[in-house]
Amino acid sequence: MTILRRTGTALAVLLLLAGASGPGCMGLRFDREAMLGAVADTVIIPAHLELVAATEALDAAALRFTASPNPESLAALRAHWLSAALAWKGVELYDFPGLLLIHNAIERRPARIPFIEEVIAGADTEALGELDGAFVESLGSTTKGLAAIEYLIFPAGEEPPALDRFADPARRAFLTALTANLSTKAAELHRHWTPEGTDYARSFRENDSEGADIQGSVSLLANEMIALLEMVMRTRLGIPMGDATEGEPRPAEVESARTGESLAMMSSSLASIRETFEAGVDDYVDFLDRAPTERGLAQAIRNQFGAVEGAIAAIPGPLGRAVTESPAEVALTFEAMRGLLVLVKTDMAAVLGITVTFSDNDGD
Amino acid sequence: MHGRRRIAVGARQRLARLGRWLGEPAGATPLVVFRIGFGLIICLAAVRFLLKGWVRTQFIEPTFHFRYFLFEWIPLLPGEWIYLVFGIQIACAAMIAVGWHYRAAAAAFFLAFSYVELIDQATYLNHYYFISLVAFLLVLLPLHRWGSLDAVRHGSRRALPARWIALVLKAQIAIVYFFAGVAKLNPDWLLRAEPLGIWLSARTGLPLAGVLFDQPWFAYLMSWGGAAFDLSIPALLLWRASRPWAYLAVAGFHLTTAVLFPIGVFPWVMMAAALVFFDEADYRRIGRFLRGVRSRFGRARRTRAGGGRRRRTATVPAIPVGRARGIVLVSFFALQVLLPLRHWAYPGDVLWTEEGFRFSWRVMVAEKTGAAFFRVTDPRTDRSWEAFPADYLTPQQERQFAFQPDMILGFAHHLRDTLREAGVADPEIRARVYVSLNGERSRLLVDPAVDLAKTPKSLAPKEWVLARMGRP
Repeated sequence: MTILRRTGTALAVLLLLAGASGPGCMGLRFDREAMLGAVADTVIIPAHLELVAATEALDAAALRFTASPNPESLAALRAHWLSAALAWKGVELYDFPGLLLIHNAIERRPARIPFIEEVIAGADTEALGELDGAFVESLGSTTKGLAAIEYLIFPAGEEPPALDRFADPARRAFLTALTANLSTKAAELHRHWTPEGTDYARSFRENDSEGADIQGSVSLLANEMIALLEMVMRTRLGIPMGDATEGEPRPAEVESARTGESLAMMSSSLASIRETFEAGVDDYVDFLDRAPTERGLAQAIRNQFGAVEGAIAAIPGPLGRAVTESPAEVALTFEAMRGLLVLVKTDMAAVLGITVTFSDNDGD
Repeated sequence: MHGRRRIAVGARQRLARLGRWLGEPAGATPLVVFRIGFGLIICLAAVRFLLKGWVRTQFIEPTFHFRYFLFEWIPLLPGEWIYLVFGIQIACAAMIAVGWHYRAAAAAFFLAFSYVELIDQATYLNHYYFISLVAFLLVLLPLHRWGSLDAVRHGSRRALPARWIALVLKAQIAIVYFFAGVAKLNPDWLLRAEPLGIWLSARTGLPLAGVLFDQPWFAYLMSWGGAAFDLSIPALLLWRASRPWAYLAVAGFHLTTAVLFPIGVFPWVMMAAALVFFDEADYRRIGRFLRGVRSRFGRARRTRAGGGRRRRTATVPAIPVGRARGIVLVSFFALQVLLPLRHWAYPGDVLWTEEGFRFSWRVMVAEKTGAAFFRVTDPRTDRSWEAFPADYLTPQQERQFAFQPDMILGFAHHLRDTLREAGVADPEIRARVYVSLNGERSRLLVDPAVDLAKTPKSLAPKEWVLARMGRP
């Protein structure tokens, strides 16, 4: 019993000393909560605010266009769509639990074109006011959001010019209903992150290392970074390059073939990953890496982001054309992305001690 | 000649003495406690597996399974039939616990559990392997003779348990701890305190102790302490004087791992299994202690008429090992000792190559993450393209296969067969697999020039696996 008492006392003293010293006193602890707070405050919430502003501007441009369809208002509408789409690329990374439906309502590709045309053709011309945001709410995610609006205002191939198509009042009404719904959804998503909504930012900061739920938010963030990188590489670059068609390039499979802005969107997606990383995750990686900063993992990841950005910038023209006319440049971009994915998925995940991909299972 | 004969006679006498010692009567309580504890935990483990939906995600949803080399012949049950196998596991585990039709239940549980484990390499866990082995031993050991429904059914004429029965179980547990300790005697564990350093750094938010977790010295303390624990605990559990403290250490160690790491039922299985190290006298002392506690709280002390039963059974001789059972047990333990050592037959670092990694109690000694890319070339068209594992595997499979060479080869063969079905007659498949081991920067695991589609599966050393520090 004496040994037990002594052991217990020693352990208690050790824990008390450790507890009393706390963060900072030992000079080693990393404040993960502060890091997550910085990511939320300086990157995530501003990105959502930008999306709210961009979708509001898009909605206003759609109203101006439908009130007066002409080449100028159409060009303005398209420019606002692109701004909203690029703003969305700054937000899509944060597809955290509970947000999937709202994310899908903002963008889910490909748009179901036959169904969109069916909605327009079936609209009651005597009651076009019923084609509003509430009506759009009832539609499936592939019939609304950015992809559906893109279809309406950027005709492709043999399709009639946009201005001709918008002679139809039902099409105009559906367009404004879509932009109104998009704007509402963006505001709703932003509210999720603020105290006015579910204060997701707070739970994001605090959901960390509570009992067995190890590094909840760090793990979540890293896994979303990996998932988005893989998706960009596999779907937005690999499939147009022919990965799903035995090496036969498929230009039509680029993300936004109608606009020719796939590369800009890709850059925007990668920029959001980079900004998130550089908002504090890189410091945490440096802290855990225990290697000199200039040769450390965080710097290697920063360098690789630069390599990917350089490779994308070197691709001439729209991606749809480049996959057939400049395959070497596209392939170099793919390789640069592979390098980035390897660093994030293996090295960074290993240093952070997180489990890559969410699959609920035991280990040993 | 006379000298040799004397040695042979001496050896025979020693063997005979050992045989007599093994056959001496021993108490039944440790065996009853073990059977009930183990049965209940494996029953709950199977229920938990069902409730978590893992039967679906691990055995029904995958369109492809990583089969064990030489065990590809094991048939896969269609659709939802796998649920029946888990139903059998639950029922049989409960029957083992209560000792009802014990032999049949133990045999059926062993077959059902091992069948599930042999379906997919991606689901391999050391503690599942441990459960399979113990289930096999249960078939051989007559643990139903005491404190069971079978004993009630078959009347009071029961032989005494012999010493060898508990010893078999103790040996199995000792093998797990000992080889887990040996596996920790590697430079990463001892000199870099990895992977514990990584895992502890990730858990600094834990109340109280979390503050210690990113202290480098603490990772070293835990690493060295863990290795010392594994290597010494079998002996400390065997030695009567240290046994209570050793068991407290077992409980403390496994409870700590249960809090820190998502390792499912492993800590509970080991804590229950280690109870077999207590002997009859220990359990009597525990009984006296508990009765003392009860009386101190003012409860009426009730005397039980159990002594008569004990005396009655004492007239029956202890159960002998028997020749056939002895041969099976000796072979079993010889294999148990050889399997963890087989990695010496392969070149390179076993943590990296994984040749000889499974079935050798390398528990929590490697933190590996991988990213695997496959390039397909069709020689007829000279076209090549990337094949993404995520298109073929579940997230759990994708995570596991990306750092295990035999599974990488298994996936390459699956991809080859799928492509052939799609009309690519003779695809070439090359892999670029990047793996990070114990926090080191990632390196290529397999030779990216090798056409894995034409690389056969075998137990021979995989020459296409690159060395941890560069090419072999």
